[in-house]
Amino acid sequence: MATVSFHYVTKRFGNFVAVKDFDLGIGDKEFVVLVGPSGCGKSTSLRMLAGLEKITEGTIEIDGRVVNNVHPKDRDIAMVFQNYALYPHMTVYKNMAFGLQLRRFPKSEVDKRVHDAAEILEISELLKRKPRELSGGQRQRVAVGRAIVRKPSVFLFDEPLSNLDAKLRVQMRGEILKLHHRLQSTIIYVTHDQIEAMTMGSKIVIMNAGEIMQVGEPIKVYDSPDNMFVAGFIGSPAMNFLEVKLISKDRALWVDGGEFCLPIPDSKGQKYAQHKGKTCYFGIRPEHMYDREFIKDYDPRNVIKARVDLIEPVGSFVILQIVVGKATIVAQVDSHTRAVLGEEMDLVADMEKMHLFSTDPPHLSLSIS
Amino acid sequence: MREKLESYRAYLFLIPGLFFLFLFTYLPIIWSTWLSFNEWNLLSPKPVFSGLENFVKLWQHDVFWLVMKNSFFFVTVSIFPTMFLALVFAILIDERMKGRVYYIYSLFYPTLIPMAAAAMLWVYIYSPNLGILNIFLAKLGLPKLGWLGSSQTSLWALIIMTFWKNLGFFTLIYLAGLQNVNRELYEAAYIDGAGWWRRHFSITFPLVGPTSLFVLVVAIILTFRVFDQIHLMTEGGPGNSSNVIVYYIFENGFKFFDWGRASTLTTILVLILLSLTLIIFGIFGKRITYTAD
Repeated sequence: MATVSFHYVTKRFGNFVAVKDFDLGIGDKEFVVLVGPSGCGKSTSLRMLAGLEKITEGTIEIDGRVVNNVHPKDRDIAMVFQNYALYPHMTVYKNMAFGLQLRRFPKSEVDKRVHDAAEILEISELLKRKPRELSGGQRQRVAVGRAIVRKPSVFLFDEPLSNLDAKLRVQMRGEILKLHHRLQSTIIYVTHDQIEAMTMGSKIVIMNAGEIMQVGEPIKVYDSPDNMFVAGFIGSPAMNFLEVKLISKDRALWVDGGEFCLPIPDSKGQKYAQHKGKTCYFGIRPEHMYDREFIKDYDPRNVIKARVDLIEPVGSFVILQIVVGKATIVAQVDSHTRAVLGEEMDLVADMEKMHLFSTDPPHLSLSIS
Repeated sequence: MREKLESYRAYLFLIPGLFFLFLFTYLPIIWSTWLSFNEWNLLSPKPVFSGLENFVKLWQHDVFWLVMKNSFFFVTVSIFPTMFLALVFAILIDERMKGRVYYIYSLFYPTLIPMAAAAMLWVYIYSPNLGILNIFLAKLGLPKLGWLGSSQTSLWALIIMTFWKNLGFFTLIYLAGLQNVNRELYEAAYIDGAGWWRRHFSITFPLVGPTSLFVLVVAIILTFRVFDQIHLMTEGGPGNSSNVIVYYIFENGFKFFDWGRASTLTTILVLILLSLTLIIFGIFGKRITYTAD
């Protein structure tokens, strides 16, 4: 298997900068997910690694070898495309064998590899069929099969599950993870779906407007986002942001939002002390706001009074849209909540899980700035 | 009941179109087929039923066989290079090669100009003494050719001119066909290690099958029906060496005033085109891949 390194890679299309100073190291056998909104440069980065796009500046290395000018076929990579890219006029067998035949593998070796891969992916009975005779999930398996027969050093996945329905997506997610475990290969996976990123990646790379916003283990990124973009992008429903002023009261630091005033716990107070008196953004995730009626021990100072604007029962929990002053925020509360539309309710904010971000772009977390 | 009424209404809307189709397409075919079994010429000014006599006479006529040979030769020799080059040019234009605009103008210009103008241009090109083709041959130290005036070269000269005229049209059709081929397939093949030729041989050629089928049938019909350039450039000569079936029909109908024989030739042409189309669809219709997924 292999390591991959991007060294300050930039890609320009005319005057448009698609990827800017992309600098990332990927270890052997790592499962790295590039995640971000449409047009953030994640697919372009992957395509540069695959050799499908030329690199404007910087270098890309695979296993210590600079591959900027190396033909894709000589990079020892295999790619799974968003629309599967199965050759429609070839059978599943031929689709999987095509790359090996081009590399002039002996017929017996081609046959063995195709059948082995088909067995792993449970598509042995489909080998004689053509892609149009397969379901979306089966096509996806064939596309993966075509990649694994090559036994490449690095697997590249470009939004491979985005054409599948929600149930199948969850199933395939699990299967790709199992495959990674089995093959012990380096995988670079592109998606715009943050749940896919969180559940699959051993390391996730959050991108926006061509730049890396944060790199890290999924849970660390979730717990400690470096900036407001990452905080808002990772997590569903998205984190709430309210403009507040940091004030000092009763020998503690407080966030003062006008309609509410909440104390910052001592454990976090020291980090933010230097920002006292400043205006900043207070961030709290919907799942860290509770319906007061359903928790026993809470600090009464952490209560926010708000008017219920929308109730969305999901089953295992209820999503509430609530109005605090002029702002609308979201809370994810117990499924048995007795919240009434249009009426006021008490919510308790878990201030241990709060975040503060600068009001100046790029809205860095005050815990690191 | 309501569905039945709906379908009647649909047929009602089709009546004006079907009326004109019948009047200007089916009726002339039926009429000319009927006439092909009649003697109708200057000696017999009214059609007189003569059974298969016209067919038998044609069968025994050397010129008929020369015309048939010329027509099939014209079709076979011009179609396959036209299709192949049209596809290659369409691929090159589609891949945004250098000088693309120049190629687009050069290819499509012949398609846009009227056949009469193109014929005059090529009469000049083929002119034995003033023509640029012979001037070019002379510069290369090669002997000058008679081109349109020689029975050895007249048919070839017309084939080359027709190839030049039709190439842009078929390139345009292939260019449209190429838009249906998923770009990711080329990228997948590129990563798999397929070179330019292999990518197109293994992916483009099979996947433009429906377009090729259409181009093949249209090209056969168009090439069998060549007339204008023959009429303007050689009049089928010299010595019928460039005479083809439609021009032969014209000669019989409007020069020799043998409308019965002209109708017989028309019936033969219709039968040839119909059989070729059926054979082509029979062979290729089920084998080609119609959809991208």
